[in-house]
Amino acid sequence: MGASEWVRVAVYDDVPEDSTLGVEPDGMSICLYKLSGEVFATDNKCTHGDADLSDGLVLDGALIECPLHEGTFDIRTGKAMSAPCDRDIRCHAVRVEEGVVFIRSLPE
Amino acid sequence: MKIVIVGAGQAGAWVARSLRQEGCGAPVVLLGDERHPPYERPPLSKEVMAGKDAHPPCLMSKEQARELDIDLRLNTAAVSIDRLRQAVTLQDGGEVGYDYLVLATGGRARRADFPGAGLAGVYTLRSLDDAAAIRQKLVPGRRLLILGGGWIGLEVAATARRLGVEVMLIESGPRLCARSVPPVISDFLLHLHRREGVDVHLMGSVSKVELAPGSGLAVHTHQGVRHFDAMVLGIGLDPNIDLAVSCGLAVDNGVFVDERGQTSDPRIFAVGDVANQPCAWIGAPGGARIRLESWANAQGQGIALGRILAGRQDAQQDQPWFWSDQYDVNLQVLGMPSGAGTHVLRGSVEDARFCMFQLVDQRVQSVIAVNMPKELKLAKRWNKQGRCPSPAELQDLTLRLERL
Repeated sequence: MGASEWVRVAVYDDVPEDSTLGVEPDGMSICLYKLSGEVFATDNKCTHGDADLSDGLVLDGALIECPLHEGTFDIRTGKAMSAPCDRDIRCHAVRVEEGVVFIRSLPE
Repeated sequence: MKIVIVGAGQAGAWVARSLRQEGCGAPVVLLGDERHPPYERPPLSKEVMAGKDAHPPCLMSKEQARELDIDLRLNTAAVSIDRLRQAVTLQDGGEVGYDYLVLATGGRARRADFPGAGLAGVYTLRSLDDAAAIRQKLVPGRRLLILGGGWIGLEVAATARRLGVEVMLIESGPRLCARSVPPVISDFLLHLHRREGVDVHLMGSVSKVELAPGSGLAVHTHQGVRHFDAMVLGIGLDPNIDLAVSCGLAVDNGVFVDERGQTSDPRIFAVGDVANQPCAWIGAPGGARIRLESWANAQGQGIALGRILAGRQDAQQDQPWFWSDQYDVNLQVLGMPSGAGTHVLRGSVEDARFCMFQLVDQRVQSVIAVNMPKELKLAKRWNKQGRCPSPAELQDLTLRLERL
């Protein structure tokens, strides 16, 4: 996926509010989130262990908790917020058009 | 104020990191007897042993130690504590003075006492070097004997089978992981390993190991002499209490500490696998104590003690929690499962995707989750919020529990 290319990844209504949806556009593994109606996207693989964040819980409407070792990231910024995670997770730009979610990878 | 931490494993490294995170600028010395900087141990029996990752996640590299101004000393064992002079003597004869001392000495893999238990080819697993040594023996077609049907034994069995090794596992008791899970889970694990080709023997025994003529080991088992290329002992962990005992601290199945981690000497604290602590999580049995051998406890207690030594408020102790990965199974246990109360099953044991909730007095006392991590994390949330769904709701797979 090119750095400037928007890729269709999901239907807006399929992303549950205050929860996650794992998607795999072009062989990438992405986790989508919906917070108060707004969609966010990060890499799906935790930066600590071998786990998909899409299997985790959204905490306090702001954080994603890894389902394996319970480290957390800020969904909006990707910042690693609690142990054992200390490397941030990559975020992706999100655009919603006519009920369809597109993402664009930002440079690492 | 100078803080000396003895033991650079998961607990010790987190004390040091937490001190700095909380803004404590005191001199900190972190003493580790291994040659490796602090690392996480859970991958040793899995990714590291399988050769997928040569190195487990590092908890504090030498560079990070420098950046944090932590005096990290590797290959440095502490041999004694002088409490009057507040000083630790090191193996090389050197001495380090302290204002506060933290014992994060962990434990060592238990050695068996039958003849031949110390022979080359008989391994235990605790360190990165142990894992690397065992890995050399995990060659397709080789024969491995594992003694002990606990978490270490089972994880090594799973890794070895995936590498094409012939595995026999002997457990002396009537079921697997009997100390931490109920019979239904023991049975699930037994079927899992037998299906994957492990020759599991319950109520078995080993009485002697000899070097076999040529190469390998001749092992005297309850079924006569059997030959193996290597043997791994997974028969438990002994807490490293020697330093504490010799300087007269209170010990009893580990170093005796209060809810803040303080030992019988107010200048000395203990954390992680070595600490025998009061059960203080919400819903814990009153007056009970426990020594936990888990990654989560080592991390959580380490962080909590760093906060305390930095002058912050204590945090609420978390419910005990651990996990194990074997083949395609991720198993997590929250709380201390027992026979009390009502047990509710969500999902299907046959499909290896289920959750067992134990409800006592309108609370989730424990959860065992197999390939259902989200449900276990939800139970943690309910416990914090002081609520508990009904058995009917917990069983209903059409209901998304996070919507409750």
